[in-house]
Amino acid sequence: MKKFAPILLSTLFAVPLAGCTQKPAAPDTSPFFFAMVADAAYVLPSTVKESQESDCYALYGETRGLLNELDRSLSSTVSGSCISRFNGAAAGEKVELDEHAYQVFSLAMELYEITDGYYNPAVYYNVQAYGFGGATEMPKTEDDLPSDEVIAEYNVLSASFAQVELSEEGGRYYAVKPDTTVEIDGAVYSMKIDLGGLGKGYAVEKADGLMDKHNIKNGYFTFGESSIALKRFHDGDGNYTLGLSSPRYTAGKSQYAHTYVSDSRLSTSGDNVQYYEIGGVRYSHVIDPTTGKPVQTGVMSATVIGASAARNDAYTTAIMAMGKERAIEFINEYLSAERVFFTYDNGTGYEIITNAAENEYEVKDERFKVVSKVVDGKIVLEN
Amino acid sequence: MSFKKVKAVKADKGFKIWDLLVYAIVALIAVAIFLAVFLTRDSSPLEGVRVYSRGELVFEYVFAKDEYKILGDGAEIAVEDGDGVLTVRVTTEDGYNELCVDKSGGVKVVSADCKNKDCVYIPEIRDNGGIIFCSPHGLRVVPFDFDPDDGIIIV
Repeated sequence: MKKFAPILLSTLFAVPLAGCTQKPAAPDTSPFFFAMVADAAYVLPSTVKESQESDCYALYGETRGLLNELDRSLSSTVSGSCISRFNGAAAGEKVELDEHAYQVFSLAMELYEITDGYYNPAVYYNVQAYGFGGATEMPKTEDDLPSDEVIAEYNVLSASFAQVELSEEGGRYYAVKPDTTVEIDGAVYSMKIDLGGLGKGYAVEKADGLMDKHNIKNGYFTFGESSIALKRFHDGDGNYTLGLSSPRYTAGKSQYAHTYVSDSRLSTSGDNVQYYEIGGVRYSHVIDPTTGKPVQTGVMSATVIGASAARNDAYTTAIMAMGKERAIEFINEYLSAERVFFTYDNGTGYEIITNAAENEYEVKDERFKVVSKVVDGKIVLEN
Repeated sequence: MSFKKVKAVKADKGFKIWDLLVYAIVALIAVAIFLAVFLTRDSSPLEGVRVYSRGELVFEYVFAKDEYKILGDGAEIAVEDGDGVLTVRVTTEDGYNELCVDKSGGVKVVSADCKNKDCVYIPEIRDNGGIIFCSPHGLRVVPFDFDPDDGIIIV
């Protein structure tokens, strides 16, 4: 009988294992991969997937086609895309765009104006120089960081963004690259852009439109977590609970606040998503166009909830670059119709500044203090 | 055993019919179980992973949403969000395990300070049929079905 013992023992252990791994279900979500920035997915409740199965499949198929189309248009890493061709063109050259690229480019120029240049997609070289945006290497020591002289040259290029000329001629779209060039170590550079952030928001809005087309009223579409189009939650009051990630997490505190939203589009930016620290200084992927360096304004993260995910993406980036006081002025002037949260490190603690009403959010991390109130729809700092 | 008995055993056949029958039954059961395990193994794509430390849920990640949550106080969790990869270091008073979450749908323990480092040699989980276990640290990494119905979105 001893001969059988190992076999019988393995049998006894194997029987329960065979039963507990059964799961026939199809994936709940439909991940799409997008070279432009990140992955995207619909998150639809079971009720929708069961009752609108054919709509869901049509939605997934059309979205896949849409994202491939946008990738070929807006990605700065896909060879032959409109943006790649623009970036590869010589200074002063005229480049034909497709309609997507033209629309996003036009919006970028409008947002550059509105934000007074705090949103600037032409900080391409700066982003690369600090090791982000697909750069091959990330600085590890202070010696690896780009010099002030090099950054100053790159800033000359990013400042020329306003000189891009867009035109529509007989149903065709064009962009003329600025004449500006700089020379660094013998190499000549002309302006390049990255519309990835705005492109994500643009894609989210298009996906939201597809949800409308297929009459999907519950669920949401998320693009790399930072741009989302929300319908209504299928239960309760229809609101989703939006957990705002803590930019300075500690164990058990992954969100600094909750807010409750439905039928909205939102974007968020933070210096905690892609960053590194050298000599106690945090270098994040969010570049301040006024310095050409990673933001050091004390603003750690920003979330804007409103009608346009693409605009909101630019607003969150701009708010981080503006700094606390300038951002409050900007929000009061331009974003009274949106719900805005941003967090600020004042050196001794973390602040939350928001134009949301008190019953629209709940602070979840006691390290963060709300330091603003809303008077006549405007943010006013509390003393 | 007497010499006479030994001679009797030597003279006997190697296997009696009942011996062969028992071997055959056991072999059939083993084959059936083998097939059952592999045919019913859940090979659907990984939707999320949960990390438990000494039985307490301390971390979870949802692939489709590229979203992680740090939960409970059972372990110190350090997360580094890189390009396509999430590095998660789980530290307790027993030691540490470092996990590499491939955002395209996989998770593996890449380093640990446990004695045998068995967890490091366990293959990467890429479907819902896998599990990683570190006995010395009481760490379990298990797949879970992401719940799209919970109404919570983290940004």
